[in-house]
Amino acid sequence: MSDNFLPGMPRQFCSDRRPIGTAKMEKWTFRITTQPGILLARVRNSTRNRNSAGGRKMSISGWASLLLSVGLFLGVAEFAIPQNPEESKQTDGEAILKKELQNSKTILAIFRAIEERNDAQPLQFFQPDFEIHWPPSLPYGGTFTGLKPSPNGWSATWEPLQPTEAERKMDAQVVSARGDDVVVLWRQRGLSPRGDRFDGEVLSLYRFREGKLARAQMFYFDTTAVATFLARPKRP
Amino acid sequence: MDLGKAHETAYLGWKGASMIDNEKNIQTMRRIFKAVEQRDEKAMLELCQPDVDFFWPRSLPYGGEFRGLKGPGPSWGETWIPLQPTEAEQRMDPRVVAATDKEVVVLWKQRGITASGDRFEGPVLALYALRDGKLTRAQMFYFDTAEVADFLRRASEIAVASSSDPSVCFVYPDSDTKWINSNNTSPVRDE
Repeated sequence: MSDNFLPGMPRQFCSDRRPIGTAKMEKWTFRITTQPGILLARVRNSTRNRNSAGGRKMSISGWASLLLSVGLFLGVAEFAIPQNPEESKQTDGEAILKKELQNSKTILAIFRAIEERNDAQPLQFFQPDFEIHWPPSLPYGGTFTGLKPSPNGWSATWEPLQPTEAERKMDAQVVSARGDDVVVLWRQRGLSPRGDRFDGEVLSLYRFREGKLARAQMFYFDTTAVATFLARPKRP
Repeated sequence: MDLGKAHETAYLGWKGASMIDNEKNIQTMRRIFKAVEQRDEKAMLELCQPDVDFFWPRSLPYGGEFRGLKGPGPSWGETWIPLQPTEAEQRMDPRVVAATDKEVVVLWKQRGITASGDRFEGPVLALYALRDGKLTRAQMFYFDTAEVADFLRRASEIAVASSSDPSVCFVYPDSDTKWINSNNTSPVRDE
């Protein structure tokens, strides 16, 4: 899991970037940063920008100014975010996007804590009435409320089957976040004492409330395959 | 984990710019679900890339990875359409839970009823990839494939018991159970 991971975003966006200047033309201000080959139109006000997409086109002089700005930055003016300065206030849309990003970061932090067997840290990320849904056909299946670990829960079932980091690795990727929901694709891995390996995909749906995880539901790609692996003899 | 202001700005800019594509993809997926519910094969063809890949759990009769709308064995349609005689079972109640400019995640309901009246209803979280506004990859994560398989096995046994032509059936994956093909359109699948 990378600290630079951004949910659903192409990898080229996942490195640090700092504005190195701005270029103003007509009603737009372009912020120039040092990322290659990308021109992004940022929608600050959806209604106004929808109108602007059809009606507010840049003139030839505008384009010339842009090219000049690019030249001034010796060809490194590669990432430009058009911003309407009159719309500098944070919009509702932006607040939602920030919440989605924060939720995505939280869920990845939880995955990291699970991988590292860090039981103490994640408690702060959960609502006290946190609800988790596991497929009923699994040994740890059912719906549970609260954070108290169960003697037959996921951890009790899988930890003996994950002796090394290779099995504990979950490769969690945030597919996308939308409002309070976050979807994560991760891998469930295990190694039986007989040497049988399991490696299967899980798509999980998480719901946040006030920045804390309130609900989780795990969709294994094939619960029958998981149950078959778990039913194998526990001893060599 | 602190992504920093620069990352946040980049993320917000990217997400804002990709919203139009997100919305297009969401609309495509809504039309696909409508086409499935209404059994509109023509619309399905129009909304899918010719090389669309489907990934179904292997433990189901229609499980496996297939390219194109028709796989080698029994399809989802051949399996479920006979178990969805009314609009109540055909309804999928799709809810888009997440979307990007390339992928859409939809939570939907799989419903069915056997000849003896046993009902099944279970959630499916599906991951769809789109290219040029058309579906290019679909992977279905049933909440509990074991329950789905059990229901289909029961439905199959009831169908076989009430069928006058038991030869029209195919092998159920990972078991000796035969699955009746009520459309009589697919050959016997030998796993």
